[in-house]
Amino acid sequence: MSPPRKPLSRPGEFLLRSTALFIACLLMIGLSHAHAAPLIAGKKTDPRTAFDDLTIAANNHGYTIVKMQPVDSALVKRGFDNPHVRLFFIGKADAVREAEDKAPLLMQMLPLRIIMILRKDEVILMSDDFNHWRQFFSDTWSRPLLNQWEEDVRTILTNYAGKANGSQ
Amino acid sequence: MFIRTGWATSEVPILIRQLPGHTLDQANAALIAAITNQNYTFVRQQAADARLVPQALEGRKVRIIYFCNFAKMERALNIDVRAAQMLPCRFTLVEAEDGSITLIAINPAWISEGLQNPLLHSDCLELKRDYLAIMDEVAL
Repeated sequence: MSPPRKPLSRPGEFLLRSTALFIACLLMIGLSHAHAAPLIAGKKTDPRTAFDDLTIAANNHGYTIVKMQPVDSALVKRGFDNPHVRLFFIGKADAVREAEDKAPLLMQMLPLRIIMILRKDEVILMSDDFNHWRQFFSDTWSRPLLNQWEEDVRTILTNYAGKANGSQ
Repeated sequence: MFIRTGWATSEVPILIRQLPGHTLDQANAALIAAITNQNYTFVRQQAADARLVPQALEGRKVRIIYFCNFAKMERALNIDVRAAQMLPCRFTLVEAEDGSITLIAINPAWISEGLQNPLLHSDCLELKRDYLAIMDEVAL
């Protein structure tokens, strides 16, 4: 048998507890926004069409798919489980030159990676986590490049998802 | 919900080794040998602007070397599909104007800190140790 609930000792205690709860919620919301997250877009389609759509979306925004890494088939043919993941690398020459000139360490992020996750009847595309990179590479040269690349990838994923805006 | 306060960033994002006495070709060969010695498979190498410009015009000062250990890759993806953000494993060799060579890699444990998955993080710490072992071997 549970003990009887203790009544609030003072009229202000309810307000105090409510305020504390509200502040805790605000903190949680703030922290969850601070938590880094990649860009993600998905739609019901098949892998072949998803590849075509990604190619078109990348080309529309000046990017070229420079490499496809079939992680799924590479693992399966070696006897491992199928992770249903493929990697695509996209790039454009101007972005490489700009990174070389302004922020050489950011070359590590190029060509940009798009992760394709194959689900039952859905194909999800996911980017690297630009926010995580921005937390360290926050200098005058790096931040605008990261912002630009993130915006480019966001636009490509939005285009892929077939939405006018806001693929997230 | 993941809360960042439990994950104070302690890892550096980039691992770097200077390779004095190496040419770019020598460093490239030593790196591929060290990758194999550490039980990884060399996947491919390319210029930073490969397939973005005609091959004859590709930059010659930066080489990207991709490599992989398939068992570790499978394990990481089974734990967290976001591990694909650090796949395949990669080193970059950069030749400066004065001819000096630098070996650079993204620290997988730093990426893992951003993902905030404790199950994945221990694997990424091991991956980082492998990267450092490869870098040390090349620098010998």
